[in-house]
Amino acid sequence: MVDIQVSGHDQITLIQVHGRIDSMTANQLGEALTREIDGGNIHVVLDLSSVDYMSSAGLREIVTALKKAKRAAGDVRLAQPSDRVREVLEMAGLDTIFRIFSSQSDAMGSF
Amino acid sequence: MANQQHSLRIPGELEQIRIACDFVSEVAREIGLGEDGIFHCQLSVEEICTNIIEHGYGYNGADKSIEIVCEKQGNHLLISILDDAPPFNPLHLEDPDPGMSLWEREGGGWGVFFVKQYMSSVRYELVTGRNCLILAKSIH
Repeated sequence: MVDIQVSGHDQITLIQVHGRIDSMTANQLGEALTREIDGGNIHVVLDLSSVDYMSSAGLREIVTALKKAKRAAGDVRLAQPSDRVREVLEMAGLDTIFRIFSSQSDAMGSF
Repeated sequence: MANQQHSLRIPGELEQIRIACDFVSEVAREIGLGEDGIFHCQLSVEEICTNIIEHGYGYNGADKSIEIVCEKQGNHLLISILDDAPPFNPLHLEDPDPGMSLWEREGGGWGVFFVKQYMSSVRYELVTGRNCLILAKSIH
């Protein structure tokens, strides 16, 4: 129910997610983020344009990943969250914690 | 379908939650909730079921169940979620603070917080020894 594609672009890792991030799939996203950051790819863009549903399980994974990246002097930046995902991010106050960009290229270019 | 009850029982396992979400979405759509309302119900049911499986059943709920009962009452969809975990009222938990810094965030508590935001009202009852959380969502 979720498809996660990871690609490297110079010093930046792009993670594109398609589908739902819920309590059944969030661990897949968490594993992908952990694998990249622990592997030294600490500049991450998470493209959420094809995610129409994210529950607190997904938020937990991206917060964990952001902490991990920041500890390594990196960052996880979000690109194009849908209105529904943005609403959930805002309710949890994460719109002020994450840097959020309206396009993938803006997010990639921000590093 | 006024006052008609629809119910579903799932085993207490994470893999089963999608079935509960689909069930509630279908009932919500049938009684006239819009796409936003359907999403709110779906997310709320996922959050509550996840908490039951994680905290109530300790990820050991294959032989235990969660029952979901939907009913239209006046201008509301009522979603009752019942479980057999030890009595616990999640509404007594303190709400997490959205103003917390990144480093203060330990990850927990957001599920019930979202349910409170998305539903018109939420209440807890102990029904013949079972935990019962009753979520009400305004239809219009």
